Amino acid sequence: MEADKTLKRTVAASQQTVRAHLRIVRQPAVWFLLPSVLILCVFVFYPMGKTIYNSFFAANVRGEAVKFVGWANYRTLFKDPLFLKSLSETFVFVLVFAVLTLLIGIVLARLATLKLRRMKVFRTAFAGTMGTSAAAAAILWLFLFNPSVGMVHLMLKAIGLPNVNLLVTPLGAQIVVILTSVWMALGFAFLILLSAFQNVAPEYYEVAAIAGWSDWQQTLKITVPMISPTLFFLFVIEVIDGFKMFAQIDLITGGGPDNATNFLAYKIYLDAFVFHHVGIASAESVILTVLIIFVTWIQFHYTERKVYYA
Amino acid sequence: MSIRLTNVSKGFEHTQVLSDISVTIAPGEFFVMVGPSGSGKSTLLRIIAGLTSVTAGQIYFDEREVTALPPKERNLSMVFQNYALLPFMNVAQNVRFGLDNQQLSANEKNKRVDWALDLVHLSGLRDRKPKALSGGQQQRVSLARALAAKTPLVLMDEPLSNLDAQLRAEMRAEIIRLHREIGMTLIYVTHDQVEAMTMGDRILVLDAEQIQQLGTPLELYNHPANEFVAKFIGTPEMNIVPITVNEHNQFSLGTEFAAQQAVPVPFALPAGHYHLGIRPEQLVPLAAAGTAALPATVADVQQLGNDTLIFSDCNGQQLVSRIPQQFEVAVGSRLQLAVPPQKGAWHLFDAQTGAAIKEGVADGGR
Ligand SMILES: Nc1ncnc2c1ncn2[C@@H]1O[C@H](COP(=O)(O)OP(=O)(O)OP(=O)(O)O)[C@@H](O)[C@H]1O
Ligand SMILES: [Mg+2]
Repeated sequence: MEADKTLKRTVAASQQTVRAHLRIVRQPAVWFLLPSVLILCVFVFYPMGKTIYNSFFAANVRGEAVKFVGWANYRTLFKDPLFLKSLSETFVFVLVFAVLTLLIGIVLARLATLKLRRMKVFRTAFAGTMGTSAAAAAILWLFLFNPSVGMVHLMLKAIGLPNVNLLVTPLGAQIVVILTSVWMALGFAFLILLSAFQNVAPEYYEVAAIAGWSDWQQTLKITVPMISPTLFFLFVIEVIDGFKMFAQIDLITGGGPDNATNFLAYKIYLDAFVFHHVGIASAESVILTVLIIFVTWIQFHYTERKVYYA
Repeated sequence: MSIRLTNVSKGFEHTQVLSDISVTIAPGEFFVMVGPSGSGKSTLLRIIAGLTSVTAGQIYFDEREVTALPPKERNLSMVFQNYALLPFMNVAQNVRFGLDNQQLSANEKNKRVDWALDLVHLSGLRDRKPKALSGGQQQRVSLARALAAKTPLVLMDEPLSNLDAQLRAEMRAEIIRLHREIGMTLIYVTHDQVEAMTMGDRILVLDAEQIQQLGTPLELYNHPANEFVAKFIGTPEMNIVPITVNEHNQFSLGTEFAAQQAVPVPFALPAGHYHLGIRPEQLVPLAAAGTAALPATVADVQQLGNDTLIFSDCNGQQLVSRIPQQFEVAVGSRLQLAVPPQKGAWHLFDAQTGAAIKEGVADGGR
């Protein structure tokens, strides 16, 4: 008798579960989501899982995981001075890149809100890098810094400075990569900042002008706090972008000289596809992913409190 | 501080907004500028503030020319329609924002903030963010910010138009009180003629690039300089109808004399065509049919409780009467509207230009 009841209850419960599943399938939303979910699975979730899996294996030259090694890949990495150097240089690069992009973006956006003739031309120029591919931009900068015909060196020569080839010194190469990356990122940052600037009601500036605040003070005291959500958003985006920087490095420095620009994303590429250390590269990928997640989390946790949302 | 504008003109790229505006505002005056939307009130105020440049003309503050000076060198403060409170600053910080750039000790600044918040009765809310305040409270904060700077001139651009009717009446009284207590020169822009009438020492009516009239509220009400002012000041607006006067000092409504509807003019008036203006409260129904009356048909009745508005049709002309009591009358019924016998209730305007006619008509009450 008791068992009978239990059985009945179980059957009813399982029927309910089946019905619930059917209900999900009958939801139109499922069908709309399906294409994206499929694409995400094929190009994001599967490679992600596979990378995590590979990071625990030693791979043969064809990149096939052949032997389970546990945490060995990770241990090797954290003992490898080259990896640690790459890690710290990446941090410096990302920070300098994101801060510079934001600062220059703010200055450009402020300039573009001035009521001047032909401002549209400048706006278009400032936003121009939005439509430039990273590869084309990298080649362009490579030409600019070419030691014999590059514009930069011709200019240095013209004002009587020695003709240094920036790209052969570690610091010089890092400066060039940062300049290129900032330049590339500026178009997007500028556009976003400009629209944020234009959303600040003019009365705030008029109150400030009457009270005697200078232009510079107005930007600091009114504009920056008013657009702080945008600044925060951009900073997160630029930090993530910085961690993923690849094309410029590949085309301009190839990670050199002396690994000075061998930032994490590029090092992963070298390890995986040039040196065929798929296990190591996979472990590096996992570390980079965790880093980005962690840094973004920190930003949300600590910075967002200081941001004012209207 | 006195303010003098001489021949101020302003044109934007495609539009002329102000032409040849000359006016002197006395120290300590509560000066109101009214006009319909787009008449250039804000533009004129912003010119005084230095936020907008003039195309021609000069501005003097106490005989010092300020035409080319930037706002901060004019020693004034301004209150905006949308309050313009910085949302990330609390009430006290917002008030302090208006005077933080002055050469004052920190102690003095704090005192000023306290003083201004006290004036607008907001001392208890000094740590609140603007978002946590009602519209009326926000406007008080922006008033406090303007007052804390203790400038001899304060400009206000429609400060109450974002508030509901009850709050508006309350804040109206508040601003009048603040002006009385502090005694600064106050230039106040509104498109609400009730605000203008109740608040201003003097009112400037602006329209069509020009000053239409400048005077005290009662001067404007009793002696409008033209049809525009006559219609703009007073609710419901003044009845203005064309009339024709014959040689026997009789008149009828319309552009041609109609003998069968002729009514005697209660004073001597040269024959001709005029526009006659009569305030609704001066055009009341007769208890019994009389001679000096216009026959009319009731088209609509609005009971306001204390007043009754009667909209009627007289010989094709729409007329409105205001009776200061409850008054029962059916739509469609016939009425005799008494022609006011006293000259002061007659506002005669030139049929072509709309300008008030002064000659030939005794000036009631001047
Ligand atoms: N920056 C500008 N550029 C071009 N035209 C302008 C500018 N500012 C105002 N105008 C025009 O000037 C005229 C007067 O504007 P203003 O804002 O002074 O009117 P207003 O009397 O304050 O009206 P409202 O009661 O609607 O506030 C309008 O026709 C307006 O379109
Ligand atoms: Mg206006």
